[in-house]
Amino acid sequence: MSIMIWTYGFYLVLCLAVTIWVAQTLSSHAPIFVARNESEPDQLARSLTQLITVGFYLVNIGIISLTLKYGQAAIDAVEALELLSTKVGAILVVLGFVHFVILAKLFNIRQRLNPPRGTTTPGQLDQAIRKDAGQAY
Amino acid sequence: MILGCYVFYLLVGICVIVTVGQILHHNGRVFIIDCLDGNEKASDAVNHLLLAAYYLLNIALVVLNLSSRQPVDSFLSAVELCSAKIGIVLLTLGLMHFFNMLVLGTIKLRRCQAQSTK
Repeated sequence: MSIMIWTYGFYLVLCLAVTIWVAQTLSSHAPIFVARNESEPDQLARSLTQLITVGFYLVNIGIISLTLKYGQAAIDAVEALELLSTKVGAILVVLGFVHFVILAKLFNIRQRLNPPRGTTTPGQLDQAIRKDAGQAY
Repeated sequence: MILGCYVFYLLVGICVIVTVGQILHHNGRVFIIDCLDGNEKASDAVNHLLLAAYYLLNIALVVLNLSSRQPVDSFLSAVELCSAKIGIVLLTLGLMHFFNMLVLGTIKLRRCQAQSTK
């Protein structure tokens, strides 16, 4: 009986840690992505990001706790590890899917808020690639 | 044991509803203003109406979902019961939240399209 409690505990801790990490990534990078002004996110971008982050937390923590009890009960450590890996893996797939859907929606929102002004020139792209290579090495 | 589950579930449910409601009320204001093209009074009105509807619907959902015929005889099954119920509440909240945002976004899109064809 206690091994299932450990399994549930590890499952919750791991899944919550990954959810919080993804949500922090979303909330720190999304405002500048949808902002009308390139250097500083405006109030709409910040509010939009907050709303999306809250929805993200709700849906994911909901799915994590809803699927807690499913899965064959483990008797020893080996079965517990197998159960844990299956459950955490499924949650990571779901998290990734939700993240991609949100990313697609953010692209749409960005297109709507920032209509394309013109393509980047080849010179700009070269400069960006050289800067990135210089930083990497 | 099951009374403890019920109390824990109600506490968590109502805390989440109130917290999320305040966040939505505060952040949704800008979003609705953008959707209604800068009309602040109308946006505040819609925001308040949405908050009232939100509280009604969600507290109703939490309270209706409370009772369970499942026998709870150990700490493990209590944990499973609580997590299943809290999970349903959170997932429903999240899906309704995204649905609301989608509807508001569609309203904004229609208004933008109507503006551009005038």
